[in-house]
Amino acid sequence: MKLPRNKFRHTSTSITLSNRVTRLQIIVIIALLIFTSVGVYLFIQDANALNRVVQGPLGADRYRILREVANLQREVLKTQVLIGNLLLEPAGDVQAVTQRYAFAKINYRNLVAKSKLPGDAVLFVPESLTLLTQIEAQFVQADLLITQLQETETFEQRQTILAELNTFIEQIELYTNELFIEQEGLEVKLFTAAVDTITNSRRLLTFNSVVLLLMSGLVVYLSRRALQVERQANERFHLATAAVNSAIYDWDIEKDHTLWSDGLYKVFGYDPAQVEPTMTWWLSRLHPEDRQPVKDRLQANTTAAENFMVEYRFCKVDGSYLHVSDRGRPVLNEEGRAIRMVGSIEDITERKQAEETIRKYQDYLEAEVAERTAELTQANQQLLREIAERKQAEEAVVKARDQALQASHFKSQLLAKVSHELRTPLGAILGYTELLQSGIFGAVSDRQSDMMTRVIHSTGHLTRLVGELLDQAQIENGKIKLNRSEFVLKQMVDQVEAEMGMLAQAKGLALTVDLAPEVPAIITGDPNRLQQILVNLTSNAIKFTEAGGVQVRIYCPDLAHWAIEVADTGPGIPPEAHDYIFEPFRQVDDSLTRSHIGTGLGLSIVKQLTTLMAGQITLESTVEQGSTFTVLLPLLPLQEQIV
Amino acid sequence: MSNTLALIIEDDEYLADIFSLTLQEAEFEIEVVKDGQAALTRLAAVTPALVVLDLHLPYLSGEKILRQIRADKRLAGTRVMVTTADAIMAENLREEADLVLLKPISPVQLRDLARRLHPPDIMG
Repeated sequence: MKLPRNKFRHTSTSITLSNRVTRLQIIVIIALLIFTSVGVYLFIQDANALNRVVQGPLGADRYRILREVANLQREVLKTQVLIGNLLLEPAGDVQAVTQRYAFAKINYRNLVAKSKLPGDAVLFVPESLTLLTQIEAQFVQADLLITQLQETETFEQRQTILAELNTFIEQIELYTNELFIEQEGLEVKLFTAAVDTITNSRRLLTFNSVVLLLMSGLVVYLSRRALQVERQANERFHLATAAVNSAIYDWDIEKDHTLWSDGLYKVFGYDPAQVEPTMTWWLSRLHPEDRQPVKDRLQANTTAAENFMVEYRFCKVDGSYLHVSDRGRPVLNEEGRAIRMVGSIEDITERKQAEETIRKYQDYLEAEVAERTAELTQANQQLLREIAERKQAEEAVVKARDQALQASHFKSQLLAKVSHELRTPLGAILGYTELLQSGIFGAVSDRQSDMMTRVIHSTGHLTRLVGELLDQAQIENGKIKLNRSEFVLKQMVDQVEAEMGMLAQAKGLALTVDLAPEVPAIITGDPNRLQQILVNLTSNAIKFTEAGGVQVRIYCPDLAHWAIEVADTGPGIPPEAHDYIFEPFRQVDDSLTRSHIGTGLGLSIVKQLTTLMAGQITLESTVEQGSTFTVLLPLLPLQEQIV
Repeated sequence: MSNTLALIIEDDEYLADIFSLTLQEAEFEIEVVKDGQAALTRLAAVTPALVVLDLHLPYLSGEKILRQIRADKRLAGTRVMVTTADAIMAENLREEADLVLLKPISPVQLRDLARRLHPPDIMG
């Protein structure tokens, strides 16, 4: 921004100065107006006076009246002369001719006198002047004749002279008359011209006065306006300098003289008296650490005529330092050398502090990030180690699992094979025993028949065990499938009751089977597997119960389920065994396993079949009081086709 | 004269014996073959009323023999009783066979079932 020079002075001075200029302008304008007004007034006065002269009693009209009066007088005179001639003629009176001549002479003199204007001017046209000379010459000759007339005695001679004189007189009167007419025309012309001139002058004067007034008004308006603009500019400048917290300077490099704006006093608290207008003073106010670099920079920029832009610490009047931003621009002379440096020193302490805060915060963040990164790197390495370890462990697990799967598969295959291979000889045992018992090979004693029944029962038991082994193998291989159909529940329950009743009876136990009335007569499910569940649970209960009984109850706990509940009065199952009792090949303890015949697969198969049927098996047991197994199954809807 | 021929296809000697004895009790005429190939040959010649078919046979499996029987219109009246020690196979053939019996088979049960499948001609 280019600033007017006077702005660098003390600010109040600049306002006073501009006020003075304005007052001077106003005085000049007022004087001009007064002068114009007075001039116009005087002009109007003169014009009026002239008007009055021309138009009034002293004017043309009066002159015309006087002229006409004079004309009348002359006509009267002429008439008198003519009358005198008429009177004198007969007498031939010398005196009359002389008198007429005298009249003509007076008349002419009057005319000439009247033609004399102020100064040397005469109111005649040049041609008339020749006439005057001729009249003068004729007067000389007429005077000569008058003298001769007075000396002549004879009548004839007098008559001749008188006739000659008359001729002269007539000539003079003629000429005078012409002159008179001439003069009259000139006079009229003169007055007309005068009146025209005055009228024109007055018009011109009025027009000039109006123009002068308008121009004065314009000058006043423009001055006021210029003043206002300047005042606003001043105000803006002061507002700006007041707002920016800046000290504006104008440093004359050659004279080493600096002009400061009020900002210097306001921002840094100096009193104008404390400030020396030199660069040395300014440098002395800089922070000692900044002084030399700033000075070097200033010198370099000044020499190269470059913009000067630097930040440093500047001392306040109380000795504390403010961070400032100094921006200067060189003013060049014709040779392109910097002769002045104009610029501003702005207080940027707040910005600096904010920057410092941000920088500290950034440092803190960076440190935090570095710390976190280090932690992460460490954690990462730890993680990589753990991953490697885990991978090894997983590989081991996979290997072990593969081995286990292989073993499991082998076991399942073995079980299937064993079960298959056992069934064929079992068939022979069962077949021959039954045939023997039936008596086709000859009569059998009762005792023999009993023994054969035992063989047949044992075969049946062994067949069941073989079946369980196969079921387990199938379950483990995921080969077991449910053959769902609709069947009459009571038939199945009766069959199991008959079969199990014999077992219970053999041990002296009471078996009760209760099929609740709310249970649907026809059930959807796999009848063989459901029978297996019921048989397994019941036979298990009978197997482990030494005294008391086994109660089988089939009921509906709610509308969506039915349940098979088998309760015994056996030794019970301790709570710690509840979890593994359903695992394959497990019984409550080894001693029991040994004392009770069984594969330990029964409950496991029940549990797995139940799960396959989307049911649940629960166990409630009190040691030495008994156990209750409950299989809860969903009531499946009946199929549409009729069985 | 009504047909009372029962063809027993069983490679186990004892079981074949038991089935024969049992079905004789049920008044069937008995023929026994010990392998799949022999069974097919015999089936081409005779039209048994009942076939007792073991699944695990030498040369040709019982499953294939069952398919042959079912494919032959001449044998449409032949009842087939499948006997097996393999519970899984037993399940698979439940649809195609007239009866599937899982070994060990009770002769009493076999006799009753055979009678039910093919009631003996009282007049014969």
